[in-house]
Amino acid sequence: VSEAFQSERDAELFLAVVDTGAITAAAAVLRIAQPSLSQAVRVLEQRAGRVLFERTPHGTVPTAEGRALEPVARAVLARGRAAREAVREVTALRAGVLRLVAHAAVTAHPLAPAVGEFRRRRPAVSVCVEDAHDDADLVRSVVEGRTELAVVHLPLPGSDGLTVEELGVDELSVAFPPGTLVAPGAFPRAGLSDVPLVALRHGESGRPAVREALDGMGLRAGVVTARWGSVIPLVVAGAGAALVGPWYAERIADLGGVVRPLDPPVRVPFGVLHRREPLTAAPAEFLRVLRAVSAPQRPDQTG
Amino acid sequence: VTRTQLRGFLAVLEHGSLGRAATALGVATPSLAQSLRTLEREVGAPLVHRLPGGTVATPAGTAFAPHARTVLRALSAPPASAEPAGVLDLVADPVLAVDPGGPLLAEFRRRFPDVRLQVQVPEAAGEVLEHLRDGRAELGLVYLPVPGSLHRTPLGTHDLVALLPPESDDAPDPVPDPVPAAALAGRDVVDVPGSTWRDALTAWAGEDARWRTAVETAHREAVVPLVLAGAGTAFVAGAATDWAAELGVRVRRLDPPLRQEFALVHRRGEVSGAARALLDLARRPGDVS
Repeated sequence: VSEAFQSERDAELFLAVVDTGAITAAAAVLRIAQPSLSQAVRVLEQRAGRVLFERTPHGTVPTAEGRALEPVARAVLARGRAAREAVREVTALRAGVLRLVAHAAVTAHPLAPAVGEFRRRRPAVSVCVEDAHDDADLVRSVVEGRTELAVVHLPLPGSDGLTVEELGVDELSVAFPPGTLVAPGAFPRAGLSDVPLVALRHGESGRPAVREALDGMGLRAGVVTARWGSVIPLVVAGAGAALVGPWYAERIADLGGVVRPLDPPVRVPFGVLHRREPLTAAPAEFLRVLRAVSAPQRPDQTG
Repeated sequence: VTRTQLRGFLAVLEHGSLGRAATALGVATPSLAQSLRTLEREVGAPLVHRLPGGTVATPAGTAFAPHARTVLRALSAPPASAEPAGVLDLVADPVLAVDPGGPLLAEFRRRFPDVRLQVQVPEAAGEVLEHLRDGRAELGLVYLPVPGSLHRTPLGTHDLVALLPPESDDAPDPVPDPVPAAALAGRDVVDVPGSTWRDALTAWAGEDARWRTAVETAHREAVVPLVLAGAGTAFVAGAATDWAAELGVRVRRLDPPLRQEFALVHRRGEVSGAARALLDLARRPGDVS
C-alpha cells in the first residue's frame, strides 16, 4: 500500500518533476531550491518503498512505479481543488444554508422582508428560521452554536456576553375588533385595564419593555393563545383587543379592526444578537440586509 | 493541505471539542488547534466555531467535511496499475449486510486481500444515506429507491415474508400461503423500528390489517427467536427467511408480493479502484449466491 503522499504539496512536488522531466526545472517552477526538492523526492521514495524516478543524463524520468503514482497525485490535487471550491461556494454565498432564530413577533417584520430581500440577492442560499420555545432557548441556540444570529425584541434577558445591536423600535398600538366604539386619537394607556386582551401564552417577545410600560395596570387576558399567527383572526373575530406592532396594526386595520396609538406611547426596540466572534458569510450578509430593511423604521431617521 | 490537518479537522467535528479530539488522536490540544488554524487559512474560511461548550462546524466546515474525507481517501489511494488496495468504506442496510452482504464481502476479501474493507451498519435506514452524503462511506448497499444524486448498480430483489409462531398450523384457522393482509388482521406483531420496509409494509397492509405492535425491538437478531417463542408475527426479508424456516417458524409469502430492489450505490463521480472491484464482483451473475 502506497502512503507516499502525506499532503497536497507532496503530490504537487511529484507532478512537477514528472511534468518537467528534470529536478532543476521542477524546482524553478515550484520556486524552491533544487537540493530541497531532491530531498523531498527521496522522502517520497522512502515512504513509497520504491524508486519512483530514474536519474538519467537527459533528465529525471518516472519509473514504472512512479508512473503508477501519477494518477494518484493528480486525483489528490483535483480533490483538493474541489474541496477548496466547496468552501468558496459557501463563503461566496453561492451555496449553503442560513440558520436564524427569531422571536415569533418579529417574523412578520422585519424578518420576513429581510428574508425576501436576502433570497433575491442570494438565491442559492436557503434560509432556515428556527423557532424558540422561550427566551432562554433562543439565547441557548446562539450560545451553543445552533444558529449564529437571532432576530429579537429587546432587551433580551440572559444575553450577557453576546453582542446586541438595536436596529429599530416598534411602537405598539392597541387593535380592537371591527365595530368597537373607541374615541378617535390616541388611546390612554390607563384605559387598557378595562379592555379584555388577546394575550400570548409566553408573552415572550418584548416582554420586559411592555411590562415596564404597563406595570401595575392589571391587564386582563380575555383569550390566551400560543401563536402569533392567531392574533389577527382572534381580534378580527371579536375575541378581544391586542397590543401589536406596526405590521400587525396595519393588517388588522385592513381587515376592519379599529387601531389606536397609545398615549403615552409604548415602544419596543428590536434588533439582533450574536456571539462576539465575527459572523460567517451568510449571517453577515443577512445582517446587512436586515439593517437596510429596518432603517426607515428608526425614529431618528424618520424624524 | 496535509493528512494530519484533515484527520484533525474530522476528529474535531466528530468529538465536538478540541480537547476530546486531541485526546482521541493522541496529540496535544495546542498543536491540534494550531493545525486547524493552518487548515482554515489554507482553505480560506473558519471551519469550526469555538464555543465555550465545545466546537460546532461553520457552514464552510459543513461543506468541507465530505471533501476532507475524499482528499484523505485520494492521498491513500494505491498506485494505478496495482491490484485494488487501500481502504474501502461501505455502509449497508442491516438486512442487506447479511444477505447478500455476507457472501459478497467474504468473496471480496478472498479475492482482494490488500483492500481493508470497513463496513458500517447503522440502526436506522435513513442513516445509511447520510453516510454516503457526507462521505463517511464510498459505497452503500441499500434498498431502492435512493436520491438521484447517487449512482446505482442494481443487484437483485428481496421479497418480504411473514413469520408466524410454530403452533399456527395447529390453530383452527390456518394461515394461507401466500397470505393476504386481511388474513393477518388483529395479530400481534414484532417490529424493528427504523426498518427500510416499514413504509412499504404499511402501504401493503392498508386498511385490511389493523395489527398491533406487541414487541418492538431494535435488535434484529431477536426477531426470529421472539417469533419462535410465540411473541408475535414478524416480517423479514433475505437470509433470515431461510434460517427461520429451519428453526421451525412458519413462513408465509405475502399476497400480493411485497418486493424491494437492492443495489450498490455511490455518489456520482469517480470511484476508487477498490470500490470498482466490488461493483464488478457484485454484478457478475452466478459468482455470488
